[in-house]
Amino acid sequence: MEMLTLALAKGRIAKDAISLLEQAGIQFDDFHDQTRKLVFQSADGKYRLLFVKAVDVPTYVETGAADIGIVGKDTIMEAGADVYELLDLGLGACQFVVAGLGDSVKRKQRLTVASKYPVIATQFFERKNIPIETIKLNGSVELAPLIGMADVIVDIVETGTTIKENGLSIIEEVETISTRLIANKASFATKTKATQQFIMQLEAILEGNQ
Amino acid sequence: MKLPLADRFKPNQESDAPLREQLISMMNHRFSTYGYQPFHTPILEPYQLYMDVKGTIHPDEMVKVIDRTGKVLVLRPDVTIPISQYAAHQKNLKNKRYSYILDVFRQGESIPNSHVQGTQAGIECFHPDAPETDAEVLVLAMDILQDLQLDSFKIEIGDAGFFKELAELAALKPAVEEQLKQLIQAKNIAGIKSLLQPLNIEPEIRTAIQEIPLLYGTPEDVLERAQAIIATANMRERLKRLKAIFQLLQLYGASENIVIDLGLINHMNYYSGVIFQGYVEAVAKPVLMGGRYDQLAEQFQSHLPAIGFAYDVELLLEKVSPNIKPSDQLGILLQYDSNRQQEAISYVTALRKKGWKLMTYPANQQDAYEEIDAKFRIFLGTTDELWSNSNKITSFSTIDELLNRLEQSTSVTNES
Repeated sequence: MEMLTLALAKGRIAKDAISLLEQAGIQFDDFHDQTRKLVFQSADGKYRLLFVKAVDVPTYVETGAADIGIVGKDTIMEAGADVYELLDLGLGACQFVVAGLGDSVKRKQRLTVASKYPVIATQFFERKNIPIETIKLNGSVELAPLIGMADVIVDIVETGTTIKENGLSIIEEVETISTRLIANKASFATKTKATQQFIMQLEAILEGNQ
Repeated sequence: MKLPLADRFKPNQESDAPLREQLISMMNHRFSTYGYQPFHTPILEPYQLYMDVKGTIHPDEMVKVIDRTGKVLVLRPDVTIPISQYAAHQKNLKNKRYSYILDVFRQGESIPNSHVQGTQAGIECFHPDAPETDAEVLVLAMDILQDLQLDSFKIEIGDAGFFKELAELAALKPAVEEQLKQLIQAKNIAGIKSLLQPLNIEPEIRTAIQEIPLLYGTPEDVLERAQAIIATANMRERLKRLKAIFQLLQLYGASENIVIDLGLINHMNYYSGVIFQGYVEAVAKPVLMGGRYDQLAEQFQSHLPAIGFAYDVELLLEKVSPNIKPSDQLGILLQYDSNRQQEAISYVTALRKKGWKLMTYPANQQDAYEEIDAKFRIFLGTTDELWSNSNKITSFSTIDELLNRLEQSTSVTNES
């Protein structure tokens, strides 16, 4: 059978994803937390794993450099990649929220939104028919409302601690997100057997874990 | 202003060109074996044409120009619409099969690396609306891949009406329908469930919609499973049609690389029946897209059922075997001393008439020919006539003798 190439997002979900793969019988022996290696071969030789930055995973999959990707829903939504989103792996669940200072949404005619995810923010407010301006930030987004750079932020929260410690409050929950399995559409068509078998293996583990 | 060369020419621009020509001529030939006649549409089309036809190309994707009267034109963003318009306006459409290999111009909205210009090779077949027509069009599409030695491919076949019908039964709001479409295109079953969950939809319809992405696989298997989610007589007809097409493909011996995908949705809204797309091994995007669009001509006040497809020539070029490329080696290089120019010209004329790829230079223009690699070299000198075939130099006296010898040595090389 053809070899499958997986793109795995670096970061907080990587370890959990690797152990999920292990449970499904897919072993990457030389993989560990602090690894500097970027390419790994599975023990059975059926899989190749690319260890890449999360935001790049949808690109690897959409262009076919990887057949399958494991990455957060937030990144998939932001990238808007034309891929299959086949499984919810249930890992790293957190919330997409709108947060700000008190009643900041009502104050303004035109809302300024700071976010690492301008596309998601725009789509969300478009659905609510609220015109916004977005400011793309790459980190410490909570700062923006505090210094008057933006009215609100759209960001992911796990526990909400950072939001609270900075005196912001959650105004609205946008969506629950978690780690997903995505697939290149051409690979799904031309490597159907290998892809479907891989998905079935993972599905079985997910059902067992529930 | 200095234009950056790299932006306008791809790295393999030069070596690709002969391959592209060969590919185009092979495709044109294949189209003609099915009775298709080449068709050409203007490169500039009225913007209004594409705005009037619902569900086609997003206005932002079109490249617009303004003529001197202030009218907005677009660079041909699609070929199907102008051909349909042409066909719809014929009182008595004699020819019902058109093929084209033309450039289309579209700018990706948010994709910075997407090309504006691309070549499409395709066909449109008007009448009759029958499974025989559909199957023959699919077989033609597959023949092309086989001609190009792209044997490892998959054709996914679905039906545009299947989803439309279910969406109608569920009475979805347009915004929800749009979301649902995206989720089905992504085979995102979890997402579909949570989208439909708060809505008031009959349980059977809900299950049917949730099943759509799973209806992917071999025709025997999928068509069987799809029976379970049929909600209307119309859907039953559509499934019967797919089955009939598949049986015909079996008769053609062309059913092996077929996959049925009832979750297939094309972004072109004009498709009304069977739709399909083709993937070639190791190419990340579909190289082929097509389907039946029976209502498109109604927008031009005509009833004209039709089916068509287009290949993305650039994607094919990426993958197509370089061994279909004709040899770029020159056949003959003919040099002559200046006092024999007149004879040289009559030699050259005779040889080119015979179809030889030939270049000729006066012997003293060495700069021009010294780097040229040719199969045969011919020299008309002041005192002698020589020709060389792989370093063996022999003399000859008449043109007929030369033609004979050339013919003999090519037949020998062809055999070896």
